[in-house]
Amino acid sequence: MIARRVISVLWFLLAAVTCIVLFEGLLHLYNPNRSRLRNGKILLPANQTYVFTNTDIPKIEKRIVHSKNSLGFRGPEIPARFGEYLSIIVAGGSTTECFYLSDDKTWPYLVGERLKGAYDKVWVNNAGLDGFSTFGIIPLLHDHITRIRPAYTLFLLGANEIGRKGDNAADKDKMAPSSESVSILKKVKNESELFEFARITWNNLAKRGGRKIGHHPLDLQALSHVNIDQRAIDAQLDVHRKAYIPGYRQRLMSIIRMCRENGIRPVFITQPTLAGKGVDASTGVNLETMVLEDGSSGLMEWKVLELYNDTLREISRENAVPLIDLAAAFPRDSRYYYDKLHFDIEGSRVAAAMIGDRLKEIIAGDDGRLPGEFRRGDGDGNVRHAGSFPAQ
Amino acid sequence: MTFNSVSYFLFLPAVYLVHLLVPDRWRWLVLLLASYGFYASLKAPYLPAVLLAVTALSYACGLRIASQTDEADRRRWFWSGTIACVAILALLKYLPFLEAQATGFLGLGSALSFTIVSVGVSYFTFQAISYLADIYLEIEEPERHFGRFALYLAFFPKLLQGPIERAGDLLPQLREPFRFDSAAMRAGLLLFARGLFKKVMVADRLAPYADQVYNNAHDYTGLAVMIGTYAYALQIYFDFSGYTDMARGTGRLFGINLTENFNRPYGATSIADFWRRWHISFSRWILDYIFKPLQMAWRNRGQAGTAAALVVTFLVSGIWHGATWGFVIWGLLHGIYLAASTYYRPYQKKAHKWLGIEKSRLLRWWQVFVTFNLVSFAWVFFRAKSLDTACTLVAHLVRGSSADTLRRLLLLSGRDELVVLLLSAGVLTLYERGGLGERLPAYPAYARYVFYWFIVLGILLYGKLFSNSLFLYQAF
Repeated sequence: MIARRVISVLWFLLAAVTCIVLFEGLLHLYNPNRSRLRNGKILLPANQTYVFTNTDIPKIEKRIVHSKNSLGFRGPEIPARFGEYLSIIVAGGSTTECFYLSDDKTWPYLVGERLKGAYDKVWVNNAGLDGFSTFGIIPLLHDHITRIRPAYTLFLLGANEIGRKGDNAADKDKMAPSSESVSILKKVKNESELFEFARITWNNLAKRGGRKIGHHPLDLQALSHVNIDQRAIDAQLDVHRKAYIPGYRQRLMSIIRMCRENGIRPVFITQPTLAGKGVDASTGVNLETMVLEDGSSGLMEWKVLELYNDTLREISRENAVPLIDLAAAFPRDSRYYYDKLHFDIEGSRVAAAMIGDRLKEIIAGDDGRLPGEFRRGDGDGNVRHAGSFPAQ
Repeated sequence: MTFNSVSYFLFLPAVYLVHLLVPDRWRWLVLLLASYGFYASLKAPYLPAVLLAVTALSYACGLRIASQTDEADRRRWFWSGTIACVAILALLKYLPFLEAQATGFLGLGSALSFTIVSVGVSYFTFQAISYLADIYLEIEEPERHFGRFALYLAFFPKLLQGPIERAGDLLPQLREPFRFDSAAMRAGLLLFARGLFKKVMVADRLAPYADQVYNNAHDYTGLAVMIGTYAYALQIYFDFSGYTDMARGTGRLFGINLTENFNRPYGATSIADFWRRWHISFSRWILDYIFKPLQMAWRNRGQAGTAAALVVTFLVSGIWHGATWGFVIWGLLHGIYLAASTYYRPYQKKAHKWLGIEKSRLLRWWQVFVTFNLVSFAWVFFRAKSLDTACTLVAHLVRGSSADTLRRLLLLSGRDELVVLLLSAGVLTLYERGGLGERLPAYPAYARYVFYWFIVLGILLYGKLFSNSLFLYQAF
């Protein structure tokens, strides 16, 4: 009896090993849950829904539903007659992705809703990815956005560019592992699809259980204050100007070139932040002297970010790329942010209104003045001009 | 909490373990508490209270009907209980619709400040009505143990989406002492896994095709509309039959055999045959408690009476699904299909006999094809969000569609996803139609274990377990 049981258990384990080997092979052919890149290609989290239970941040919803379509973006699927639509993809980092806002509360979604008042058919997808910088956006553009060829692509850039010479952890997370790994264990860890599956499942379970919201609310009243000397600020700006800005300029030029080669109209958006000059309108807290988590002051952080925003402004001007200067226009008021960078529900609504209205002007300005640039098929072999979307 | 949620995968073993550990006389209590806990997890706090009210009402009326000797009193108690159950159902399910129609007509704003959730209400009220009817017709004796009766209505595997159990089928099983049976447990787990496989491997993979077409009705024509509609026809089958398998599998773990709800419905050769195979517990219910009494009442009108009874029965069936014009038309269409068949069926049979093709395989395939398409056509009204959308899709059916549109639609979720969908459907066909399910216990241990692991790992690795999708019939 015991021997039979032991044999049965052995068969059971052998069957398990057989299936593990089989599925490891099948997963190498197709792994629907993979969220990083292999062989230099970005793999987006397609057809995913994340549900978060938020108890930490009062200015956003308690239950957040964040879903990705089959492209791995937030928003509707590609419509059948794509060419008939005013198609827009929005790329950027977490300020764009609005990771902790539900689908219908994100500013790209609300921009789409706003444009629907002016155009018959509007398709907006949010390709923002938490932590993504231009290092990740360039392959995203190359591998995904240029294949879709939307009429416009909006890039909200800035915060994730600061002090970046190479791809950051968030970019890497969605990129191919490097071949530097030498130990067998590391190789198995990097190459095994089953291991990757276990990691993602764990992350999904953690997210679904509402165990952690990755962002933390900023309690302005609890912050200490400091006055940083102007010379220290200038020295810091000098470091960024010499070490990081030239590379950033080059990457922006690559984005412009790639868009234009593929008939996509790029639109740049500068990055707003709560940190900076003056006091917070809602709490009266001094936003210049507040000490942020990295020890810098609000003023210093804003000046550094403005350096990158200025670069974006210059590149836009030099290359005739439309710019939405959200950093300059967006009110520096904590009622619109849940931390120093990310919009709360109200902030998302205000940003959508500003971006949407400016975008309408940009699109109206393009109407009929860009011969051939936006011509594309409507899926039935007919070609029409994107500038002549039927207005309501 | 739904059957495909992580919380259910924790809830079920916990309940099973407690159920196993407590003495027999308290097992009903464990299941009853678990059932109310399961229902409370839907976060609509009034739902368990509604369930309790329907339970108390039907329990009391059942005892009253049985204790009366006078027929008029019996009838009075039966109708009191039935009308009260219908009123509760109508209040929860149809109030928002009636309110919207009335305020729309009068041009006023809605007075309802919240969404009314009625998940499960139509199932347990129908079960309560059938219980009262069976006692009134002296088919069943009333259940005197209140807790057991409450469990009959609330038993969690069938609470949200059925099957709609008859008192004569379920109550005797709830009275039986539980005996652990490893074979029953294995069968239950396999049934549960099969249901989960149907849901997360097939139904949820079909959903994007149907959603894409039905959410963008103006963009799709001809073959693309047909693809979206066929995708929905298959999605609703795999989704609903998947749920039923999971409910039956769960029931079997607790020693309860729930009614089979599906018998390969798309293999039906006529609409009448379809309703013998689709949502069997519900079609039996409407047949016994609506169609038969109506047919009896209108028997003097002959064939016209039967046809009218069928139309009314299926109209009620449509309204039962929800308060929208789409469901009404869906029900009417099925009623009309069946009513028409009462007239042409005898001539059709004669014609087949005269042609000598009654047993022809080709005829059978043709009948299956026609039935499937008639059913799918009715699904258009069932699935579309509004009557306008349904009419647009029907109008678009006769138009052509470009190859590019079809290609985009078919590759909506990517080529790999389409391959996984087709392979999963193949595995299910092999299991159900190829007889693998029946032959499996006779296979060597290694082969059986490989199959079990294959299903479990397949679901874990390729199933849409984190898609957060609800079961379609939960809405009804």
